Amino acid sequence: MQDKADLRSLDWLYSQLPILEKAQVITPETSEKIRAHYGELPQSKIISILQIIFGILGAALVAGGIILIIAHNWDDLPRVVRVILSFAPVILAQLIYFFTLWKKPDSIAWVESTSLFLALMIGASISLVSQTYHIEGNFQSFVFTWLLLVLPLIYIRRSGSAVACYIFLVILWSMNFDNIMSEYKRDSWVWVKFVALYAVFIPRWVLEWKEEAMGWRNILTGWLASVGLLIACITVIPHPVVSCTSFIYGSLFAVFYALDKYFGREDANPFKRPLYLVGGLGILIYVFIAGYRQDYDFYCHEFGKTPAILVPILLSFASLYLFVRTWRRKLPLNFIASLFPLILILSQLVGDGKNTASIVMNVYGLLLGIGCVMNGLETRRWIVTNAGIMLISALVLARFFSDQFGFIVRGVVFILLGIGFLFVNYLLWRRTQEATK
Amino acid sequence: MKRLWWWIVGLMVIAQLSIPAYLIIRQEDTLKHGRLYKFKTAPVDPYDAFRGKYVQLSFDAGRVPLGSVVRDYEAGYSGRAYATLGEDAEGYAFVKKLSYEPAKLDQAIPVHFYESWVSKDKTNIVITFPFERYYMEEGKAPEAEKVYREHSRGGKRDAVALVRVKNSYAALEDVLIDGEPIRKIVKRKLQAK
Repeated sequence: MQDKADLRSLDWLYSQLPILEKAQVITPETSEKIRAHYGELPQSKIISILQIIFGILGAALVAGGIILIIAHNWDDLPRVVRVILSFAPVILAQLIYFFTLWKKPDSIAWVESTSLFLALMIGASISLVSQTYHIEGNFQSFVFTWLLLVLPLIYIRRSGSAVACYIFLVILWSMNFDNIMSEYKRDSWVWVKFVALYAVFIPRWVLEWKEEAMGWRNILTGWLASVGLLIACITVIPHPVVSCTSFIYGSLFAVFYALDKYFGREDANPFKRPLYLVGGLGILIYVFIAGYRQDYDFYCHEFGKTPAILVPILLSFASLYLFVRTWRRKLPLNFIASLFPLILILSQLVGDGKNTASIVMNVYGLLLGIGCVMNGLETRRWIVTNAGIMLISALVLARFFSDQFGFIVRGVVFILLGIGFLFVNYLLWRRTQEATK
Repeated sequence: MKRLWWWIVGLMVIAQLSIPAYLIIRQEDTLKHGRLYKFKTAPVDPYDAFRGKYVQLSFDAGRVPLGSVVRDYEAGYSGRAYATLGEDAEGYAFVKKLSYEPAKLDQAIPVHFYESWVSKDKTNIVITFPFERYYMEEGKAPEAEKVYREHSRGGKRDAVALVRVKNSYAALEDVLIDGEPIRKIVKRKLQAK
């Protein structure tokens, strides 16, 4: 790690490079090689990041201000003038966007802020026209049109803010009020449209992952895409497979976790691995809940009745395939966690209102918890260790409190679990200390 | 390759401008050439932060007798349907027929209803029309509602919405109180204050 003296020296060196180039002591190529060798100065990285953040904030605030001004009607203006002004936001945003593409295509701050500005002004323009002509319209149609017009922005230039805007609009569109109100007669085609809208931005995500897996764009996209998908499932799951909701969520958790295990960086901060966190936590929560849900409705009965059921089945097999590939490439893998897709399908097939499926889940949950604890100790990761302990504790306590035991017995169990927690964390601390010596 | 990329950018720009343009053209065409209907209305005033303040309209015609006019009504259905309009003896619009089949006649417009909006005695159903918002400047919308209430005392209800319909598309032209546009009345009242 560079100390302050080194940074000052580097700063001085970089300031001398243009002078040396001008005096023809070194060539421009040599100058670039020197810069590449020592890397960017931390201050310049911070300044770039600040520029991006302020650029995006500035664009969002200007766009928000314009929208608020638009919300204040201009009743006294003739309709023709209001129509012309309706186009003003989007035309202005397009001109600025064009300027960016032409003159500043490599400036992240410019690309991000103008992309977001244009994305927001598209919505503002449609709203202005609706307001001028008292067009109530359908909110879902409005959002659908908006997101289709934003879609090209995510491919024309690398723009995390445009991707974020697009995903947000897709999730908003999926919150279909009609579908929420009439679960009995949910539109069976909403899920197809939703999958298509999601599939369209996946290539952009893949490109981003290849370009800069640990970059802020990829991380932001990962968080929005994974959490957004889980939220959207509440309304897009079609009626014929509403009973398969648990299966669908389980398969999503499995595929998120598997994708990160195969493509992700094991040594990265967990919060920079959204698929790992969302998938991993999701699996633990699913196992815990499935352990005591014996009711018929928690399990899927729609096998063979509708093509929509193929989605969770394919996702489960896809995650199994990724786990096998991960194991073959000798990448780090929690073996017991990798069995989750199999256990998921098995439990859904046998879920018949009796105890079979919940017993299977309870046993698996216990093994998974132990597996996490051991894996966490081995890799010295407190989050994995404690997640395992919490799962074991939750399973024991939940099963325990479902029976009628006395206070003393329950108190003893509490103490034992607490001691277990402390002991395992002590072991983890010891191992970490040994490793750093 | 670069030229193709600029072509794509150009197409994107055209698409982004064409949507508002299409809305305007469709609206103007309907307002100029659509058949005029008068709907009896009662204004209410909620707040919509995103699209400016508006007066929420509701119509007498929105209460549709189930037995006489609804065809193929399915229990549990909520969503879009189409209403064929007629005119009563006083010249006000009412719903003649409610159907799930889109009709291409001038009088048919898309409406919305929910199963839960059927009256308890199962004789009527409340539907919503696509022209139930009248946008006004923020400060004026509450005044507009006040104007209507003042005007409706003593049993006098003469607020009407003028709606033009063409090819199953309906456009709200204006809201009149006793034959005068509500905007003018509100403006006059606010200036007098």
